[in-house]
Amino acid sequence: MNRHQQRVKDVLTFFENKDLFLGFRRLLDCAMDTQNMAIYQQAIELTDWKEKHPNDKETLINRAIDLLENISKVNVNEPSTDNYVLHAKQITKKYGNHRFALGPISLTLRKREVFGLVGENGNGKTTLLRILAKELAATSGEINYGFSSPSYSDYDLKTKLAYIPQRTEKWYGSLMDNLRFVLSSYGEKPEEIELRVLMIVARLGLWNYKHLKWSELSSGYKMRFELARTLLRKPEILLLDEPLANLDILAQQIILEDLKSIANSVNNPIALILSSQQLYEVEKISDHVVFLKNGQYNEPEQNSEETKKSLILELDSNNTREELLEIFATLPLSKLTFNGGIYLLYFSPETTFTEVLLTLGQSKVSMTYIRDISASTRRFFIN
Amino acid sequence: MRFIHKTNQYLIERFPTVWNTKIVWMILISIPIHFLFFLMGLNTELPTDFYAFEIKYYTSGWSFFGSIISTLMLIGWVVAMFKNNAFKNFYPMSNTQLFGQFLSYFVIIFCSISFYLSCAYGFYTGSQNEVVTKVFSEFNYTYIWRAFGFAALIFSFRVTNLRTLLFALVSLCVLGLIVGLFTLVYSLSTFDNSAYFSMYLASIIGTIILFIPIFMPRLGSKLFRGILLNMSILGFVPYIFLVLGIISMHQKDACISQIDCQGLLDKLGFANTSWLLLIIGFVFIFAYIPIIKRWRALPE
Repeated sequence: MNRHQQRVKDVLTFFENKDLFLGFRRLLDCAMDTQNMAIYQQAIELTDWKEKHPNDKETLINRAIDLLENISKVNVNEPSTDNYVLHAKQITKKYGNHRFALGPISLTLRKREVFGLVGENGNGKTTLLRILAKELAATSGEINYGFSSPSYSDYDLKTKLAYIPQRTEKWYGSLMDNLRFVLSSYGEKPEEIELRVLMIVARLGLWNYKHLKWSELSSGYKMRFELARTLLRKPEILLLDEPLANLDILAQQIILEDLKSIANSVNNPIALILSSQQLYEVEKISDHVVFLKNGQYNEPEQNSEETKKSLILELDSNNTREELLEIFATLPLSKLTFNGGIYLLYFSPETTFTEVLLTLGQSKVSMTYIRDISASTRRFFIN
Repeated sequence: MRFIHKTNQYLIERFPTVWNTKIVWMILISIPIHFLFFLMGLNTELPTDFYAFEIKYYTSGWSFFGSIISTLMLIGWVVAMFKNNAFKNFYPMSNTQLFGQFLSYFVIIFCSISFYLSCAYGFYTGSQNEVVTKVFSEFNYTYIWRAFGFAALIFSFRVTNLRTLLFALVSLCVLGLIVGLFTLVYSLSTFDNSAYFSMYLASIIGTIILFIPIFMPRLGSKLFRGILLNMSILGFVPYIFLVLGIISMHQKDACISQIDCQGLLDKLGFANTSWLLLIIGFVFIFAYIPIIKRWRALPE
């Protein structure tokens, strides 16, 4: 079973389990992979029908399964993703006289990989992204891009670097015209432009918003339109600066899942790098996480042996420190810190999370929240 | 409405640059207006010669009407066109496409500001007055140059940005003042011909401005280079005119004792110089496009 068939099969499972919200978006991903205009047409018609009949779930499932049947028959071209798309070597950026220095940072991005860039404000996330997107010149270091077609000029290279800054520029004129304009500028076949535009609009959940004006959109939908515009450029690399800013927590999860799925496309896989403050959400979908502190890159592996092996837990509880120390008396607790909101518990490496949960369960500790952050870059934030 | 929508759809899918510049609509709108002005000129009976016609044109409401129409057309055009900018968004754009944009601006502006010419042409056709031809052709050039200048201004704005363009305009004024000031000091301190001094000084500054963006790809910040780039786009034709002027002056100085003493500009005459400079202007913009694209892709 190839990758395309596997994806179709997964989607089928979603529909069989009535996970329609997720299933439908994945269905459109599979449809987009086919690059087949007949499939696009069917997917668009189904989207339109779905929006007009929001309550008829049974018919939707049946129609979706029929469409999936058609999609699975299409042979999908799967390009190789062995080569890197971006390779940065020892990049540094200095501002003024020792005021702020970024790096040196080295990283390699491949298609289908998601790179999460986390860190507090003012630690160089945007600077790094802008350097990678050739918006900003690095002080030293070198960046190589491995795109599938050669670039004949710097401008040509820039047409392939899809970078969405945190503050995007306002769109003027009709939203649909803006999207059509991208495809036509990229030399797409005239008869396919309308279908491709409608398809990306459907995929990003913008179907009912496509006839609005830019000023009528909420910031979350502006982000989605910006993403639609960028994806129509068929990027091999996508650099996103704080795509989650201004989104509510549910919208954050959805957009991250969407991004991950889009980056994983069979036909047009993308190397994705995004910066965010939403640590857990980003960690969940990222293949690599880069934590920036004062412009320095802290790779999780580079940390001291002690911290690396410890079991580190975050706990929100109303109990006092003394009470907690008493509860954990039987466990090898090496350190307990309180930062005003939450407790941080450091256990020696042989301790397991389950053991701690058992101990907590047996005691009468009041607890609203506990999380294992041993492998998360969250621990750098707290330190 | 349906026709407009269908035409727009057709253009946006096949010719993004043509769709963006709105040249089709601007020409379609200007044709009936030109025709109207032509008819008005044709039916002007009273004036016996061209000057009388001119006076009538400017004193009757037609001149005012023409200016209002031109202004409205240009504002509408700029607003519609500025909604999209493929070059600024780094969409693929060939050198020919970018040059095509400049050419479109020129054609659109010329069509939108030259109603007077249609009127005059109508008058000329109606009266068949032979004296009119020469005067009329000279008027032609002023409209062509206005269109070229305005097109260069719009083009500069579209390929760079407002800030860079404004800085460039201010810098050009400041440099003009500096040349003037130095010339004043020079003419006060010596009794030499200060015309040579000012022209040479201006041409040296011009050469430096042109030289840096083309031959020194690493000098200065993006803003600085952008200012020089805009100054080059706006100032190349005047620069060439200046060079021709210097050559002419030398020639005339050399032959001052002879009877038939003419410089290059005198020999070329007004019409030929105009055409020559116009061709040079267009060729320069075309040749300069790789430099503009290189600047656009420059990191900050």
